[in-house]
Amino acid sequence: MYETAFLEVRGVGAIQGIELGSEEITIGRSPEATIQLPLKNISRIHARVYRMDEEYLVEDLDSTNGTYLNNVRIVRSVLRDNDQIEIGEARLLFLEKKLRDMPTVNVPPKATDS
Amino acid sequence: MSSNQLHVTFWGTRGSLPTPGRMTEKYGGNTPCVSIEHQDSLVIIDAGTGIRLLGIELAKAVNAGKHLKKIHLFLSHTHWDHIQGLPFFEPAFIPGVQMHIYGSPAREKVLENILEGQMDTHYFPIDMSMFNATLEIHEINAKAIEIGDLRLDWQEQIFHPGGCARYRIRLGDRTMVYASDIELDQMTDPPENFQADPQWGHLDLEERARLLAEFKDFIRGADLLIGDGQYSETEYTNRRGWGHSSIPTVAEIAIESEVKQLAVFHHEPRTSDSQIDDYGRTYGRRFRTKETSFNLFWAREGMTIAV
Ligand SMILES: [Zn+2]
Ligand SMILES: [Zn+2]
Repeated sequence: MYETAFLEVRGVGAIQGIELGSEEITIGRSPEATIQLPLKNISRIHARVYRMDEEYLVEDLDSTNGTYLNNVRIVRSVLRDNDQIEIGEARLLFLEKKLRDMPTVNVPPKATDS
Repeated sequence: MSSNQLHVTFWGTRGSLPTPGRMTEKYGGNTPCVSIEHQDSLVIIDAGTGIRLLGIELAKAVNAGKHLKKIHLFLSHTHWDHIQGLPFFEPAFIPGVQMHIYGSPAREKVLENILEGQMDTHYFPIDMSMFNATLEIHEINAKAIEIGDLRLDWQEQIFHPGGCARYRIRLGDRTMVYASDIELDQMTDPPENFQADPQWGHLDLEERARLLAEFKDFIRGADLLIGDGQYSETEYTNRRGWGHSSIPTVAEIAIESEVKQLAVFHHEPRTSDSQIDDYGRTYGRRFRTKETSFNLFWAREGMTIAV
């Protein structure tokens, strides 16, 4: 299970990081989209990122110009760390942080252990 | 869904043996299974362990009250990694489901026996008669089969121990080809590499050139080729005669045949996700050139692409 997963949005102003939860995230030109991308070649509601069981997926929502994942036009796909979603001119990087990626911390032994 | 597109889903991409675990979770550990959907038509190619996941999806749809499409399952061949998921395919246990299984007649009259055989009590707790779906097993005699608007044709491949069929599916001007389990290097390597080969050593250069031309004609101009690329070129030198291709060979043949997109498939069990990422970078630089619009990627379990 993901500890945390993020979408890093590039292509509109400053890089924006969005933490993913169980809520679906929509991406598109429309102000109703969770991530609004007022760029050309992007449909009103272009794609969505959602969670199913223990996976995050990206799905194209019948957009005119398509949703690409690492250079491949997809209909739907599970997401893996460092995947790049390409929508029009925008780039969204999927980043996951798993337990195994966490820095190891040395836990000092308790002084009062009996 | 656009009506002029095929939706191709990878349910299993690993060759030879399932490889569970974190080293392989990105590209997947299930053995070969691919589905091709268009409107009401559902074609499945191969029944490796990946077909279990597809079966769960289909059964979910049935439970949600959806009418299950007629299932057409084409087997490339009956090596274990291409049939071992069948006993775990949920729709096969649903009464009223119609399932057609097709395979090459080269394994004459034995297709049914082989499928029943793997569910013999020595290998599996229940036998095939427990399938509640209507099951029809066909050895393909026709050159082409029509399923809804899809037109499917096929050819036998020699360079895999025991043989293997490749399939081509067309919808209007869209074409996808599934050509896994073939050692393409046998048709491109210099003669000294294969003369001593006990299985195919007798095939001369001329015959190999003819088979290569036949392969290229079959895949020519395809929008998507799902192709055997089990080995890097270094690995391949130790695996001559095993019936699988090296990545550069399948990529070169695809480019020469004006294939638009190659999904490298049947990943070697020992190859980890990070190694495949490395292949993606090195072979990507080598074969994704500016002059052509050719693209290659490594097939990933859980990915659906539009063709
Ligand atoms: Zn195989
Ligand atoms: Zn095989």
